[in-house]
This record gives sequence, C-alpha cells and structure tokens, in this order.
Amino acid sequence: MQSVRIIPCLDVKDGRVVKGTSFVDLRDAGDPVELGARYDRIGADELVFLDIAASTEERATLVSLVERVANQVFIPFTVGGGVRRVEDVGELLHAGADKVAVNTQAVLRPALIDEIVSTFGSQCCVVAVDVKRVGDGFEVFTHGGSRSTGKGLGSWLDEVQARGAGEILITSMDRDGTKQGYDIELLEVVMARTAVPVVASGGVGMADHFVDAAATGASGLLAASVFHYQEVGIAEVKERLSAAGFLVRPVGMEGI
Amino acid sequence: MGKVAVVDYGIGNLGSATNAFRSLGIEAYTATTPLEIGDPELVVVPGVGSFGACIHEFRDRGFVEPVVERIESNAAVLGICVGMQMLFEGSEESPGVPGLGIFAGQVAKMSHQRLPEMQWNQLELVDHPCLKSLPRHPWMYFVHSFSVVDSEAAIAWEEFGGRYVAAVARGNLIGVQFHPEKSSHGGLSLLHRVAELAGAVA
Repeated sequence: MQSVRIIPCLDVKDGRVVKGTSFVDLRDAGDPVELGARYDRIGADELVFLDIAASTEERATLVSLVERVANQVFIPFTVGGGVRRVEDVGELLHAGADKVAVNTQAVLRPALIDEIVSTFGSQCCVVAVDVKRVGDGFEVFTHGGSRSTGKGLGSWLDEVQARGAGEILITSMDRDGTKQGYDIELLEVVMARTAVPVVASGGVGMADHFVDAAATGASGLLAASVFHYQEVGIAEVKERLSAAGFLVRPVGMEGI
Repeated sequence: MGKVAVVDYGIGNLGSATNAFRSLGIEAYTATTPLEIGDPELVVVPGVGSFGACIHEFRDRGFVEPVVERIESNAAVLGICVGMQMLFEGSEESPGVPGLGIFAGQVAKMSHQRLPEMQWNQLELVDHPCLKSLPRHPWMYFVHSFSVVDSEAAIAWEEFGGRYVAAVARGNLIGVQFHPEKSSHGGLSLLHRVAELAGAVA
C-alpha cells in the first residue's frame, strides 16, 4: 500500500533553522540538531535539511552540522543546498545523509543528476524544483528562488526523470510562507507528468492542507514553519489524514 | 563485550548502520577490508544503489569469501536492502551478474506504477525469533524498485502493487529489504534483537 510521509524541513542558514515568506524575510526558528531529534521523536517520517544560503553565497554545505543532525535521527534524512559535484554528494552521504537534493546546480549542469545516479543510485538523488506561476504556466527558478530560468516545468520534469532522479521535491514559491495551502493545481500537473515519488512543499498553514495535497497522490508532504512554531502537530496531521482514508504510520508506540 | 562489524565496500551511507548500533550501546565499527572484519559476533552487509554495482564492489574488495564462509559456518550475518538482494542468485536490475546464491531465486522489478517504493510500509510477519520484539504488523522504511517475489526463507512480507518478501532468514543469516537503521524505534528494536541473538549485546 502507498502510505503518506510527513516531512518537516529544516531551512538552515548560518547554523540556525530559519523561515521566511516566499524565500525572503528570514526569521530564527531554532537549532537544527535539537529540532531534528524532536521531529524523529514525535513521529516525523523523514527529515529534510536545506542549506538555503549555499547556492547564493557560493559555499559548501555545512557537513559537520549535517553529521551532528544525522547522529540524532533514525529516520530517512535528505540534505540539499550547494551540491555541485558528485564528490559533494559522497561527503554528505558519509556525514549521514541518505538522500541528497540538487536544485540550482542540476539546472546549470543537468549531467550532475546522471553522475549522482550512476555513482550512488537513483534512490539517493532527489531533484528539488522551485516553481513560480508565470503567465498560464509554471516556470522553474533557481538560486533559492531568486533567478528565472525560462525553463517550463513539464520539460524539466521529463528531463530529470530521464536522467534518473529517484524523487522530486516540488516547491511552490507563490505559496511558500503564505499558509494558504499547497498549490494543488501545481501538484496535479506534477503527478500527471511523473512516475517517481513526489514530495509537495510550500504553503501549509493548517492540518487540512495536508489532506488536500495527499488527494493529488503526492506521497511526501513537506512543511516547515507550522511544525517549527508548533502551530500544527505531526500527530494531528496524521490523525486528519487517517480519518480522510490515507494510510500513515501512527506516531508513538503504535508506529512501531 | 560483543561487537558488530559493518562491511564498507564503498557504496552508500554506512554511518547510519554503525550509528544505530552505537545508539543502542552496542559496539560497532566499519570494515573497509576483509581483514578489518576481525572476529565480531555479527557482520552487517548494507547496500544501496544498483545490484550490479554492489556485487561488483563487494567482490572486487574481497568480501565474498569471508562473508560466505561466515554464512556457511552459521555465524551471524545481517544483509540490508541490496545487501539482502545480493544473497539471491541474481537480479533483473543487472542481467548476467550472478549474486551470492545463498538463497534460491531472482530479484525482480516491482510492478507498482510509481517507483522506487520510498516509504514506510507495514510488514506481515512469520513467526521467527529475530522478530520477537516487534508487534504483528510493524512499520519499516523501504527504498527500492526491485524485490524478491517469493522465497522459502521468507519471514516477513510487504504489499506494494504486489506482495513481496520483506525479510528472509536461515539459521543465523538474516536479510531485510527495508532499512531498520532508518526505521526509528521499530527498526532499532529489530537491530537490538538481531545483535542480541548473535551474542553482541553485553
């Protein structure tokens, strides 16, 4: 059976978890090691760590911080931000990441996806795609959402899958930080165009929003600030999903 | 004090497996050469990526002989994910590449329309000593596109667009398709039990 995964996301800058609106106006949300351990404890199904400054400030991902988080979590752990070469991936996997997300660098040099896949396998290659509505369609953006690529979403999804991406993390920049809910139309477009697992991101404000996204078939539901500021609980989200007929791993001892 | 050796043949994240055992208070180390395996109570063979690449590196680095010898003498071995698949005769993923052939059968492409299976799934268990610490339908984390369809040695099953073997056992050899080191409390409980049966728990 397909189950739905609830995935808290740690957007990290200068060693702290931060959160803003539409990728700007950042505010502090806590220590990544403490938050990571807490999310494992309260029933998160996976954890994502994005070094959000890495692409724009041209620096390598904070490997030692990744390692400290990884030592505390016994659920799948995805790390992204600033991954340029296949060696960066090796370093992150060695530090305890299970999957590595590529975004900007994959757009600049798509062969990076092939290199990661042939060295470490599809299962550890997540392609993160930041999307904005432009005209009637969806366009791919890079550098933490600051640069337009002119690439349409559909053809980019086709390409990353052909190159072997094992999972797609799709973020609506229009919705990110707005709390208006996931962009359901965007998710429907992505689901129709993919044959790999899809993680939805951007816009969660309440527990019902997770149910709306699960209905599109997206199996991974990512959120950040609503979890960091404890506006919505993971247990609450899972109860809501379960009541709506979706299969989830229960939290606590029932989740064993 | 017992020990766990995690075989490192250059593929994937091995930190997770050693980290999981250490969090349980069990001494664990990685072995990058056959010599470094030493004489532990339990040998863990992880594996991610493609069947062919794993078998190739495992063979190239000289691990086949010492690990098969351990299995034949019924010393405790735990294969995880592709580390379990390698115990079979071969895989559709890498045609013509022979596996270790400890268990009969081939690893096949799964039939679900969206692969890899990358999620938590509930197991259906067959009674076995290594599963004693778990409830009847424990949740474990899977990441794979290829799977074993049937095996006489099956001790756990999963359902994902079809019924697949989730774990196998023969004597002190155990193979799991899922990732116990990434399956939170339930996974850690299983690793503790496997280490305990191997005599690696003080």
